[in-house]
Amino acid sequence: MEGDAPITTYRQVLSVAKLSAPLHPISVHFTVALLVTSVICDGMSFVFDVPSLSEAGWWTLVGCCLSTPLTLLTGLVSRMHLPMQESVARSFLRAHMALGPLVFGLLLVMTLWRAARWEEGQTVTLLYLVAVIGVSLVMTLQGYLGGELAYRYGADVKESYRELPGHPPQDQRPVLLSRPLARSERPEERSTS
Amino acid sequence: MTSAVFLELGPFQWLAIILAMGTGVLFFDALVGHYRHRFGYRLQYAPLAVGTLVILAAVLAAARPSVTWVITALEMCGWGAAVTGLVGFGYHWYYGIVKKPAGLAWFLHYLMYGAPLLFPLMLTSMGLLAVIVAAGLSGARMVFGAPMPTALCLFVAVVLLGSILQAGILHYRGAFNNPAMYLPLSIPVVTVAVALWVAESPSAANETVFAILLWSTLLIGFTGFGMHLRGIDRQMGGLYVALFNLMQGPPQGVPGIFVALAGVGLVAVYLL
Amino acid sequence: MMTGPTHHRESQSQDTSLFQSRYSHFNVLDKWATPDWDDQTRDAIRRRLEQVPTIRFFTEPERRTLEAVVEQILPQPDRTPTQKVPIVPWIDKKLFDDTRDGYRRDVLPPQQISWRMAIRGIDETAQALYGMAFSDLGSDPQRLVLERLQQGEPPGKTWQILPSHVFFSKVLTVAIVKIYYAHPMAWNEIGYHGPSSPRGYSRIWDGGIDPWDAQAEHGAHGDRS
Repeated sequence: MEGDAPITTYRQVLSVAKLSAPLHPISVHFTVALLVTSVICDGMSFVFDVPSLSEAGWWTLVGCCLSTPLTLLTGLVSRMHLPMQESVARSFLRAHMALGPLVFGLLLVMTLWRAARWEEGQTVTLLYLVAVIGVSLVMTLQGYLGGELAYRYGADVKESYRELPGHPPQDQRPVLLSRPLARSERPEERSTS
Repeated sequence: MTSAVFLELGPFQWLAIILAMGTGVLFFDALVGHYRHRFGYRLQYAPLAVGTLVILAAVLAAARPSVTWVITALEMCGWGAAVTGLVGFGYHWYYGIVKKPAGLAWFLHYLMYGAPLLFPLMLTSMGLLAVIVAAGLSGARMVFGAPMPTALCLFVAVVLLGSILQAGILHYRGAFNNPAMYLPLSIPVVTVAVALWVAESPSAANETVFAILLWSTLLIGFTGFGMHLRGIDRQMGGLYVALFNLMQGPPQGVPGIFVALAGVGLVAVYLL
Repeated sequence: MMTGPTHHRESQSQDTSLFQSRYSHFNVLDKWATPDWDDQTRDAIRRRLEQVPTIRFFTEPERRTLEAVVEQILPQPDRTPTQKVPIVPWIDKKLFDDTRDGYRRDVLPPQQISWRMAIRGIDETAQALYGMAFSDLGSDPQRLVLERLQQGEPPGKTWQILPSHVFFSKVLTVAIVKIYYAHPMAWNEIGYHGPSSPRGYSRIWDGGIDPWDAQAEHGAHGDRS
């Protein structure tokens, strides 16, 4: 973005065309949303026997599988531009990097499996649903790692306004007493030291 | 031989796509490795040139499977790759081991630290796969004296065994510093055995087992991609000295060979 | 962002025909702020450039003699005195701290003793041959004295105990050259890209040049493999 001024005009919004923002978070949403949608559509089609939902389940999975290479690629590009010293955060980053291709491999396997079902014109089996939910869990793990990187460690986040000024307050919070003060505790009766 | 169609592509079109991707990952590793050697031998350009031709021919064959000259081109590129790989093996053997100081007396050392001996033979195997694909696209049911499914199973068995050996020696060099380095020596070994079994006497039962093992091998390949990428970041300087660690570190392309071989086996099981 | 200390090289010289670097545009300190070097590397190089030790081991006459010897062995003719790579201070530091190499020729005494003896011997030889202290001699007589040392058995009482040819070729010249080529200015001359931390060496064979090394300018020997 141009400068650090808050966005107030459409022209500033258009400056995103300079691609100064990282693309990986954008691409990740496609992988996640399309897989989850596919699982939901196939699940509902399995339960309620709605053929069009089954079609939706297939095509969303195709979209997921086709968009994930872009997710991997933008992830690699983001990694190359990210200065991060050797730390806990970087080990999170390495775990995220190691798991990424495996998630893609699992998506590929599920897509091929789903394709076989689609070609036969049938809804999915319970076994398939269990497997694809399992793959979703692996993807959730990968997403969790990515989320830790962004939200705990601020990776690729330019400014991190996590604290309001004066927050948390430095002085102790006063205690609310739930019982009446004893005679010795009343301020006017306490001896000054 | 029942020849099923999957997503409107025939089995040999799928094999052509797998061939293109398998040759592609080999191309990448050959490029990095030979660049590291600064292309000191002119012939080090050969696998790159031949690999490019194979990839182009394979993509064309997948797109236009019934055009005769495409099939012929694929077959010729396949033989070219096979020969190039053999020459490369000779170079890796002679200049990479024999001619080095102490030569064969330090065989294990050079096997681990010299030019990887079996890599050129992977190019040869991709070339032979191209020949098989070309034969299949032109309607042949036998290739190299065996029925297509048998030939492909034997292909998977032999080449996967070679890949396991190459990965094994290099993971041994790495002292198996991560437990995941045992993966290529685990399930893929069983896959090789079952591939031979299926080639000899295919049945519905062992083909099912074979399929499960092949899917597992495919996932192990993808795991390898991720771990090798992690590996070059773990080295000193990480991805910030990317060119250096790319040349030093675990080869980024070869886990793809496990994926490709698993794909070949799966096509043989499901579509042939 | 850190910028490293820079040392510029004068192009005026007396005898540039004798030595020309093939890497005249290369400055290894351009790597200062890159990922090629880490904090430890930068610390070490900064110390080497800025914290030149004071003379604590040698006496003033010894220092003068040694400076004259170094000037003969490694003249640096194209640099003014303030620009020259300092060598004697680092020899002095090594001897003051008694940082030993871990090995020693059995015919030589330990380094603190042998260096003092050698400097005394050089002056004895100069006295015997020319009647003057070594540092007072002209350039040609100084070179002749050192040649006598190199050939062995020069005049001088010390050299009856200390074998001069051994000290000259195995200790004196080696120390001077090592210290010189530990300096970034010398690295620039030979196109060496500096300590391999974190980026290492890749083409580690005879004549191998890494992609990030300086590229020689004309008629360089390409690497043969």
